[in-house]
Amino acid sequence: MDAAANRWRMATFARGYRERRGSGIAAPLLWLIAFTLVLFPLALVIGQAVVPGLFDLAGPDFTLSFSAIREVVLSPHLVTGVMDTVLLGVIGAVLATVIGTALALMIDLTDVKGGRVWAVFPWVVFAIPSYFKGLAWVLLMLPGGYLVQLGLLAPDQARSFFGLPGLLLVMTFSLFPLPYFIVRARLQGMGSEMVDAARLAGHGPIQIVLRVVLPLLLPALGLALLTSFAEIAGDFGIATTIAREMNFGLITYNIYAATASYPVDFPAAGAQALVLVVLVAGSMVAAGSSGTDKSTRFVTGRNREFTRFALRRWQSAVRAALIVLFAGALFIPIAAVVFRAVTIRLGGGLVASNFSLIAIDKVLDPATTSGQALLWSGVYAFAAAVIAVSFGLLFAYDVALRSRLTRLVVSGLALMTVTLPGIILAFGFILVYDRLPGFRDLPLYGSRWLLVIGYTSAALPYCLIFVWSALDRLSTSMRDASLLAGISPALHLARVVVPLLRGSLAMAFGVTMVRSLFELPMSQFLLPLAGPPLPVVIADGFTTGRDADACALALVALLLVGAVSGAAAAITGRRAGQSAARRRDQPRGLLNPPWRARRHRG
Amino acid sequence: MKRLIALALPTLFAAGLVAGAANAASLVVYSSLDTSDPAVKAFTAKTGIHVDLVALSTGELLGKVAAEGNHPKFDVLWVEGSAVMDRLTKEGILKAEPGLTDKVDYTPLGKKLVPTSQAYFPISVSTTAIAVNTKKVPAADMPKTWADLEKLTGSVAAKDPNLSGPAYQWLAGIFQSMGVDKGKAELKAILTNKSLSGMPSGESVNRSLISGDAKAAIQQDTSIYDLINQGEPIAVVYPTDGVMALPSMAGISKVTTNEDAAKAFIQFTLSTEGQKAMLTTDGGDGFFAPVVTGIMGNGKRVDNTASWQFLDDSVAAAHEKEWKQWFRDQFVP
Repeated sequence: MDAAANRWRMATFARGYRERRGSGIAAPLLWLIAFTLVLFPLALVIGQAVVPGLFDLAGPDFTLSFSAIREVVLSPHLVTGVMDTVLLGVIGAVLATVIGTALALMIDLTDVKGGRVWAVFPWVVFAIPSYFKGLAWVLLMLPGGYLVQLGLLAPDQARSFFGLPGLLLVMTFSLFPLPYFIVRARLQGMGSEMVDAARLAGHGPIQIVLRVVLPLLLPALGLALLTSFAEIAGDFGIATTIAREMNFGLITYNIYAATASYPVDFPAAGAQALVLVVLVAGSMVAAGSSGTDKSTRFVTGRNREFTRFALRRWQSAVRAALIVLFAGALFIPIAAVVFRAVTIRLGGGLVASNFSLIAIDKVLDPATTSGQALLWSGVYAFAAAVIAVSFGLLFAYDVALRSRLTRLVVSGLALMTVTLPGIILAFGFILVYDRLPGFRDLPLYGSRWLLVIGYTSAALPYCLIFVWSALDRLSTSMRDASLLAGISPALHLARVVVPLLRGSLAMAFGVTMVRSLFELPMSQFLLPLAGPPLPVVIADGFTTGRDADACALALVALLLVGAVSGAAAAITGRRAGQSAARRRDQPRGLLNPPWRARRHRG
Repeated sequence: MKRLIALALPTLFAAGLVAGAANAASLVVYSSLDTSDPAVKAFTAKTGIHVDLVALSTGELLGKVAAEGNHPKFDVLWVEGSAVMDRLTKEGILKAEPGLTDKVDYTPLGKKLVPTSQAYFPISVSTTAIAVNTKKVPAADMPKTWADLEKLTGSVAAKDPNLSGPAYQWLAGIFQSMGVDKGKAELKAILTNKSLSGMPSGESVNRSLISGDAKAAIQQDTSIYDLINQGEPIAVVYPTDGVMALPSMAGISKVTTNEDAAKAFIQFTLSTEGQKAMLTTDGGDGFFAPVVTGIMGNGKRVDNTASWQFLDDSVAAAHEKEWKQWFRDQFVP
């Protein structure tokens, strides 16, 4: 008994030591790299909100000025942008959370047929960049677009889509996977005791959901609402495509507008980015203070599977609803892109003479700009995913071992970074690597390397969140055991953590690679001299009337990603040989940051 | 085997990246014009000088140039609009190259567009005119002047000058020819529909025009000729009260290390060979008005450049932020 108590005291002491020192794996270097990659470039842009002369051509002027912030507050145009963003964020967050929650309940609590397939689709929706979905909906809903050509809509009906309702529809279709991930993670961690008890007491499924499940899910619902709001506020892809097409000014687009001219209005961009940070930080603080970070695992320490409710006569209706959902979120936008990729003119109608494979041929020819863009972007995205996941694992592991306050601050910064539009980070990179003495002497600016580093920086916060959410579910008793056995943190990471998180790391790798492949702002502003990457060619095609080429390129890229992901999933599945275990290992929510790390002793 | 793959992949990748960086000594051209691509290819074919072309939309390209500040990475900058080039010259980003185009056989318009600073040079020219959807506007109601657009108020599309160099050139031109106060009043009377008045790109303007959402549009004439060439029911109107020349200008960076190649490139684009290469461009930019004598523009372009007016670049550059802000507050939702 004494020996056991001693061992326990030693483990506790060692854990306290770790919280001060982290993993000890080159920790100062890790923190320095993370700072240089992400926070430093962001700070240089946002800092100009209050130090507008920081990058004056005549030399840096460190005078403080609040005129840019005042301008944001006083300009009717910019105030409208803030109000529109808040309005869209609030309504969009509610809609996305309702749909995401309903989806999670259907997949986890019912016997809906094809459950595993339905569970994969949200990941696909999540992985496709929002500007791609925005562009697809523009093709569909233009007065001369496909739905009008097919006779499904009158031109006036199509025209009316370009307003708040249409934007909300696209935003909701794009964003519901996020609340779905959050709610599903809570559902899976909730345990089935309460539901089983209610069932034994004779309550029906609807009563159980309303009176037992939803109350238990309240913290997750709050978190889903707030994080969805933050995601909408920070979205750039839809703001720069469909919202831009309908002249619905959002903060992120106004930031873009402030930076897309000469001279660039960096103070205005920085001030609006600051507003965005305040909005996002506000929602995070609200999430923290409203108790949405409480663990729902107080019910049980085990993950006993739910006994699923039989849908019976509702089976068809639920499946129809799921088909409608994924048709809107995935299949119809992709179909629009497919049609545009194989037709000559958008207004040429769906007649045989308008069909052609010329655009696809261009993409498949490695000598063309599109072919080169596809080839090199694959290389960039792969490299960025390798670096981001490797570094993300080391850094997330270090942070996860530190104090609650450190975890809170770092994960909060990561979340805020995720929601800031990529143009802020991209401009920060130009300022760092082309303007700052020391950095500008490095032969990086204009090179392929800097683009890879840029992609890595843009992906790193996502990677960290993924890895934290996976680390969060590893019992601390394993770490205690390693500590007692004298195993170093590095060895524990390599021999225990990595094998257990293999599925999560593969998922993080895949998502990082896809997001890097389609990352637009970094691609535009860190464009390598050697040639444009894929997102630049796609965006350029859409803005110069070559949308068939753009769609063909996007389509081929998506198909390649799908093929690689499918092959990887098949290989992983065979090796693991136990899909249930793999499901447990997968991240249960993007936003499951380490300040909520549970200290249960499994 | 796994270790071999693990070693081989990064090595191959690094080799690829290094190979990509091998062209570090190439001429770097930043351009927002589609005509730059065939021009670059023809130049390389003729001289053997490799060119790295950074092609982005005007707004994004200028944003990049602005962020690079006094450490520009381009050797040649080639964009539409003279006001921004004037500003870049005054800020010491562009270098004066006196006599660079002395031997160029410019048209009368081309000669007039060469600034006294000789820090940037006209390569091609277009203007902003009125595009009319002939299915929506009967021939008898065709506008003849800018003021006639008041009759179509609420149905007139225009680009946001905050995102378009050509649109700013047009805005500054309107203020120059009408006077700022009268120009502002005129625009307020014409651009009353915010869903059409501050569009983000020429492509958006074209879509609204073709779909009939807009009966008329204030649009670059190259884009209008492109639509006409595609068989769309569009007519071009050059207002009788004058249009402002919109030259595409090329200038050389003050810190270039490839000055000779940069000069050779600009001179090539102003040769018959260079201009003809540019005319092979697929799309709107290929319908420019040539600035070199003996070259005819593409499509149905009429040569009326003798009547085009010239922008006072200094005034336009000095008021750029203020006028763009005004337009944004008035017409961009």
